[in-house]
Amino acid sequence: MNTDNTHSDDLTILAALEALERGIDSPRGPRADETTETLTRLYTEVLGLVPFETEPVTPSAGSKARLMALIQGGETPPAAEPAAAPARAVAPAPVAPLRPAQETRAPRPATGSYAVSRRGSRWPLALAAALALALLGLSLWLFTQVGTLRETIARLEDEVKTERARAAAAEAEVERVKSDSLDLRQKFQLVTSHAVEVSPMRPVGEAPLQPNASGILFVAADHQHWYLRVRNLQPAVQGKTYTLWFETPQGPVRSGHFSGKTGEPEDLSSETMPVGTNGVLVTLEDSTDVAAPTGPPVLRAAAVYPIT
Amino acid sequence: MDSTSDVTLLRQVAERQPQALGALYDRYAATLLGLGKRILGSLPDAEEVLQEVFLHVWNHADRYDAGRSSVSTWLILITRSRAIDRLRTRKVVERTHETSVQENPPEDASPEGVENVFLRERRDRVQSEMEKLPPEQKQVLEMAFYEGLSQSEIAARSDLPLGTVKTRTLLAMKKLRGALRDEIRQLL
Repeated sequence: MNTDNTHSDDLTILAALEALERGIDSPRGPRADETTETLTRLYTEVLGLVPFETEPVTPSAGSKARLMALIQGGETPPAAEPAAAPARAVAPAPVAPLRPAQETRAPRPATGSYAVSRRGSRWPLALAAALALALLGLSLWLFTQVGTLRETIARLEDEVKTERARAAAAEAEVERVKSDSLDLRQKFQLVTSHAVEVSPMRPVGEAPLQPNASGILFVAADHQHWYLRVRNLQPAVQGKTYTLWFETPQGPVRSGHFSGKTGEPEDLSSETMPVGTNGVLVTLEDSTDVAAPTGPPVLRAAAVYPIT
Repeated sequence: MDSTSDVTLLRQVAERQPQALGALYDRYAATLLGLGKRILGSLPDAEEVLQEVFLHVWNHADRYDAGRSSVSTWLILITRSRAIDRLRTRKVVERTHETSVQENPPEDASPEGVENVFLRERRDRVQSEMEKLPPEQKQVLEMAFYEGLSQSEIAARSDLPLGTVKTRTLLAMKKLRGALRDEIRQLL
């Protein structure tokens, strides 16, 4: 026998052994080639011969009688197993009389005995079915619970997001208030500092653009820190902007711009002021990046009053 | 013991002839009961299995496929399968053979009463050839057949490499196939 045949032989033997576990009655698999089928048959027969090494044991008295009574008296095909084909289910055999009473052990009731046997083989299936149903129920309950938990988690996440947004807004508000407070404190320090100079801002000309407008400029003793508050200045029309100029010997220096707010004062401040500033002017300009005043003047510092 | 062939008897069983089942019972019950007792270690349990097997034969004789095995091998493999199922699914309560024998004396204590000469010769040949197998080969074959263990399970239980177990099993099967050629030919 060459190597291939030996290998085929080995596989067939192992297949025959595995087939033992499926049972000789199990449906036949796909047909193999003739050689393999023959080999399989040979080794199946080898396996069938193995138990002949075991000594036979004579059945107990009444064993055969019980069997014959079962098949003749209460013979009914098992409910869970397919009935015999109609063509083979020929007329039932005549009912044989049960063994006489003097028999050593009376045969067990046919159907009862068989039923007990069948119950014995069915209880694992019943248990498995019950366990499967219990697992199914548990799975459904867990699935529902998971769904509920997911909804709760989603709702809590939304609430957390809302609360975080509120906290962020509150934090921003606190920062803004802090900033405003700091700004106010600096302005307060400026306007109350020693040797601060105060310049009132008045409308310009005999027919001023903003006759009701006014302002006041505070300049610290270092002539660098300043703070301007403008009141009653109407908002600039579309495309226009108010521009603040510090006038110096070298010419006007643009120092800020604003648009004006109805009913609210306009505040401007800085820590620097051009050297040699000798006048302050607010004009209405067409653009924010003009290099020198071109528009009509609106307010001008009327004078400087040192406060000591 | 009549001389009707096993296949003929089984065909008659499929045609619902109780006497045919009785004839098969007479022919093989002792062998099958011996197998059941060897697997289960309990005669009462083996007797229950024997009843189940012959009820199965009565109800499903039409399932027999002559192309797959001889009738005797079919009966033996069904018995083995039922006995191993029982062995796996419940603890076998140990009961003494003696008690059973006292309560239910055998119908005939002599093997000759239930076996024909032909079967006895087959038994002698198989016993002789099984005895010739090296003990380690015989052991793995018996563990597979009587205990229903897979090759991997045998390897684990024997603390042997899987390859060694397979080699021993294959050698045992091949030796038996060669030694029992005549017996196998009679079954085909």
